[in-house]
Amino acid sequence: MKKRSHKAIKLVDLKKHYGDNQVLKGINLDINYGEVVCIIGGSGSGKSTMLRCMNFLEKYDGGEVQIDGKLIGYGSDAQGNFQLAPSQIVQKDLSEVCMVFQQFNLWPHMSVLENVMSPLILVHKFSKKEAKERALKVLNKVDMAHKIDAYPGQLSGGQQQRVAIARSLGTEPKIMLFDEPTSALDPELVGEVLKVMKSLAQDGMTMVIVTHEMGFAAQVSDKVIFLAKGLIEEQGDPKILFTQPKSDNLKAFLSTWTERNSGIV
Amino acid sequence: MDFSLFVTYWPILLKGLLFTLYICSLGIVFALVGGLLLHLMSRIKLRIISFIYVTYLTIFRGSPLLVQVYLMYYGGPFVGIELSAEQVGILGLGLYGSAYFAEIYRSGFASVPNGQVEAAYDLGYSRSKILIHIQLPQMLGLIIPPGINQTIILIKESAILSIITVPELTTAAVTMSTQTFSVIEPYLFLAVAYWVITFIVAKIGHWCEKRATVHLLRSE
Repeated sequence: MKKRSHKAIKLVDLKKHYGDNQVLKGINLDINYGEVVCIIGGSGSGKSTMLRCMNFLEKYDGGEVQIDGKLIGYGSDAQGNFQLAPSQIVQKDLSEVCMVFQQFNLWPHMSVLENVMSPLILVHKFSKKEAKERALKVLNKVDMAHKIDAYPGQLSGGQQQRVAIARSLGTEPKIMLFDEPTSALDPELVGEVLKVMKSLAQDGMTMVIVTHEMGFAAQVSDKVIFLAKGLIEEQGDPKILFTQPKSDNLKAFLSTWTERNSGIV
Repeated sequence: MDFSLFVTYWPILLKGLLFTLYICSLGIVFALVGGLLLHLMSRIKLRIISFIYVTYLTIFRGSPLLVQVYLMYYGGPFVGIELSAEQVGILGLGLYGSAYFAEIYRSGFASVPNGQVEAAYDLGYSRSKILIHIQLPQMLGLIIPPGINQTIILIKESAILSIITVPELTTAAVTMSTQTFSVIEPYLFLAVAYWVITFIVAKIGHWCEKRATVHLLRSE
């Protein structure tokens, strides 16, 4: 992988509140290109909000989000005043960042193939032929090439999520954000999505994943971030973090997770 | 009943019918576009905008079309607005219809989950592309049935325009009635003519609805 001068993602004292509720209380985080980072934490810890700030689906109130060295979402006007950037600028700065959503968010009125082709044609100005070629390539990668004419409503959740990943991949993002990509799936369908994500990680994709799949996080990630009450409480190598948690919050979080899973067995 | 009357009057009636089709087409296109603009405007979160929106709805949904076109046609000149009967007809149907269509669009937009819009935005779609390629196509299946309903209502309401001398179908039938002292023939014709128009509109609507909901059928 080519060495880059900037961090893929840099968060500096990132803050966000909804009314009186301070969701993010000052997050500092560096993510390098090629890194796979998993974000774990209880519900309400701010992990999804943090992820959504990274591609500016949520406006943050304080601090900075930098993608490839560029400040996202805000800019200075002619007088040098700090203000919200127009959405076209934000979209341009984030053109290499793609999100995969918990609810897949495929467009139900389009076939699988059309879902993947549409952004290529409408946003990236591909010809139909080029778009189809690219779409088939990425659908093949997620093992969905046999369903190109199906509509999202005809697919299982796992299949839909794989198509959603292909739709993102088609635009050749440098950074992919995953917002609980397997949380809406039936347990038996989780594996097929994780398999695709694992292969992306092996290809060197920069990935930030909010997940409850601890096994997957331990296996795939270079770094795990544990968020509690809007702050990074602990972070590090998954092998160390999962086996030797330092903070009480993480110990408690991991023990409930272990209990729940051993209960199934 | 004396159907021989139609031998003399069919050119007048046909002209009226064509004029009704003409004025309704323009009025309804006006209402469709105006309603969409009105709805898009109402999404701007500003107090003054929502005040204007609610006021518009209150005025145009809250009063009879008859009163509205009367005021525009006969009242207009008093405030310096002189419009022909035809212009008032199109404007009247358009403004009145816009208020209803705006609410139909509102229910349509609410039916497309926000996540789909977010995904499109994330992939770089502009607002207008999201509207045209993501929201409108999915809304169609939902807004076509109430939209057709509203269209049929507007077509029937257009009979009111005869009162401000628009030379449309009802005017033609009234002319025939007053000149021949017959009642049953012209008004029966009128009823059948409106029925035929609305029947055709309903059929077209049904066809469009089926086409717009193809993806829903395939999801089963």
